[in-house]
Amino acid sequence: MLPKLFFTIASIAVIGGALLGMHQHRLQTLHAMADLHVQMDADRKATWDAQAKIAEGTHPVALQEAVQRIGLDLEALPTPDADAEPPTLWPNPNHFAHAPEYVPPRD
Amino acid sequence: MTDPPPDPVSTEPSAVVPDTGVDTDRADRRGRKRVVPDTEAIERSSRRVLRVGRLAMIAVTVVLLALLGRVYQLQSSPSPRIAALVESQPSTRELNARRGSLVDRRQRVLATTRVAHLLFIDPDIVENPNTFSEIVGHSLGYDPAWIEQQLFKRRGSRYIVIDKQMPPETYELYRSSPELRSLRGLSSHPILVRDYPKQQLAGQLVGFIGHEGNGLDVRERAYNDRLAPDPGQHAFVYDRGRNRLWLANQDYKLQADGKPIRLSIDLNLQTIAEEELAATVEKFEGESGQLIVMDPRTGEILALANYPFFNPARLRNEQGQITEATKNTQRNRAVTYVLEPGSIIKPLVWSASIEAGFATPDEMIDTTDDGMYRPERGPMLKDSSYGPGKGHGVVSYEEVLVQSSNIGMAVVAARMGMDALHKILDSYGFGRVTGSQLPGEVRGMFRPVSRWSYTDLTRMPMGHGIAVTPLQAIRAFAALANDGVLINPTIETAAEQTDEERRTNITARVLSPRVAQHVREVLGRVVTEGTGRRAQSDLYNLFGKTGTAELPDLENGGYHKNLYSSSFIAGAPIDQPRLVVGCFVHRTPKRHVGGPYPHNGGVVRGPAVKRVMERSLTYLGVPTKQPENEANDAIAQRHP
Repeated sequence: MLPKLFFTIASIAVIGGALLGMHQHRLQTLHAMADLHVQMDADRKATWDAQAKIAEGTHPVALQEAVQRIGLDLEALPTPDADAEPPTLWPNPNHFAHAPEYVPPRD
Repeated sequence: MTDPPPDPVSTEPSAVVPDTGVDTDRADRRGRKRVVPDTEAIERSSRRVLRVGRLAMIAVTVVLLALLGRVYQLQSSPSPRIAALVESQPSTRELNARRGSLVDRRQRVLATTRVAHLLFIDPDIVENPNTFSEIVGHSLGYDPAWIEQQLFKRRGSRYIVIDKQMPPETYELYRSSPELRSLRGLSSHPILVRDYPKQQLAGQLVGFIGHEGNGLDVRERAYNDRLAPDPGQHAFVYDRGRNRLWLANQDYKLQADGKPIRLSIDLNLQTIAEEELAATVEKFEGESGQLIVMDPRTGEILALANYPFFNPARLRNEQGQITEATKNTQRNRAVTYVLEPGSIIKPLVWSASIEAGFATPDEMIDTTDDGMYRPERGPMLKDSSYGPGKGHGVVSYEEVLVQSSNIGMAVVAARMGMDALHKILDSYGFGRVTGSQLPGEVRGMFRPVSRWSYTDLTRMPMGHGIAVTPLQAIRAFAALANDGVLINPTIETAAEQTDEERRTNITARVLSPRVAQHVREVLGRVVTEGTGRRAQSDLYNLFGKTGTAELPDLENGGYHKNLYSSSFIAGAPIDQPRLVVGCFVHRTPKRHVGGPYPHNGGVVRGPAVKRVMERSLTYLGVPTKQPENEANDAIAQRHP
């Protein structure tokens, strides 16, 4: 009977210890999460600062001077929308604003 | 347990020998005395152990139950002392969120938010005020006497701000100095500040924000709801030594940054526009000016320059006040200022009169030989050059526009009548806001036809008796470039819009494509052989129209004798216009600067518009009318 009792108590102790260990591990994880949370917030702000510095350093005049100083031969870079179809479809003739009575035939 | 226990003293072998583990058979064979275990004692011992064990288990169970109950009680209804202690542990702080950035059409930042640091003193824990002010002052570059004065003057305060926004180098000094970091009473905390990294570039378009972080002008104000952030909050649990442990479950709210706004302007084009505008206004001694670059196909404003410039990064002086000079320059006069458009209105009336059948381009019009014409009613009308033999004589209606004849326009306007002319000008959107959503936009002055006189009928086609904003003028002109479709100007990029969304920006058709193309060709002659010759380009075929208007004298009535508003609006290339550029310079004096009539629109604005057009179209990659190598040489010669 005594070994069983010892076994039971030992089991309880082990389980309790494991639970305590897990609890401690959880607290440590929460602490690490909190540290990461703070670090993330700091990193976000550092990113903002970096973006502001990049924006200051890329003033078109400064870039133009740098390009001329280096002697780069730049080519124009059209925006993706540059070749888009202009919205110049023939609207309803009733939209002809000032002289609807003189609407010419459609070309 | 049913069998009786054997007698321990009896020598008689028992019938049944319990299995106690003793080898009784072998003992019997050797003649030794049998050993019989004391089972009763064992049982008694077992029962004792069992009893003790039960008691221990009961005790442990009771203790555990008590602990469980205590835990439950602590969780559900702790005593006031403990509750106060628990509540004091988490410390709630704001989770900063950033106001949305303003970016140009290529995502270059115009306004953004970053972190700065505020330096403050807590005099309550300063150990030695005299040495404190000396150390802080000399290390960080502040006046020690002022710091000491603040320390004694505001004794009892626990928060004295030394610097609302430390320069980055000062903060770096503070951060890297162990002596300053360990100095009791001196501390800093982060604050969010609005940054305008491009300084004065597009300053009047960007606007600025107030101390509360809300937009107070232009885009910052118009888009405030979208730009405004939603700050979050978080709470940390600390131990007794104020060491951070973990995030508390309560009071957590995730922050949401404001959304970025992508404007339609292109910073490179904006730079070009501002450079050329400043040079032109200064050269011709004007007081102010605007230069607008628009994509006629979408209505997107690609550049909008206002001179004098406004720098939102230098909004307040050292006392934190906004000066009167700053207030004057911050206005976006492209939509808040009106001017008599002058001759730039002629192509609008000319093309509409062709469209409506009131005249034909080849029709001959008598503009008189002396350049002076007396209508049926109203005062004498003159062309820009008048006197014996100085008039244009009998010319085609097309030539009327090329030579910008006031008389020729008045003759056709008389045929049209007031109602038709009013309807034409109304169809171009004069007298109404353009829908650009730029704050402070005014409607201009365009009287209803019921308040017109006969004089208005002959003066309106030459741009008198009507007042428009520069943006209204360029929007109307853009309809000629856009095959006759009038489009609302917009300051937000249409790059991410669908075709359907872009089409909703169309206001109305004001001309047929055939007439619009024809008027562009005539306006091309204005640049090559008419009043806009100084805008003639070797790289692109421009079409445009000059305008010069006398300034009304608001104090004495009538017009100033020596002050003008000169304007020039042009588009290019003629066959498939990509850009429309309008340049307006106000209060230019009639002086001899590099030409006979320096106040004229063609003289003042023509070269500037040409340069802007050439540089902008080259930047956008629009093919020139020359072979590429020759074009590059020409650009290099013009813009070394």
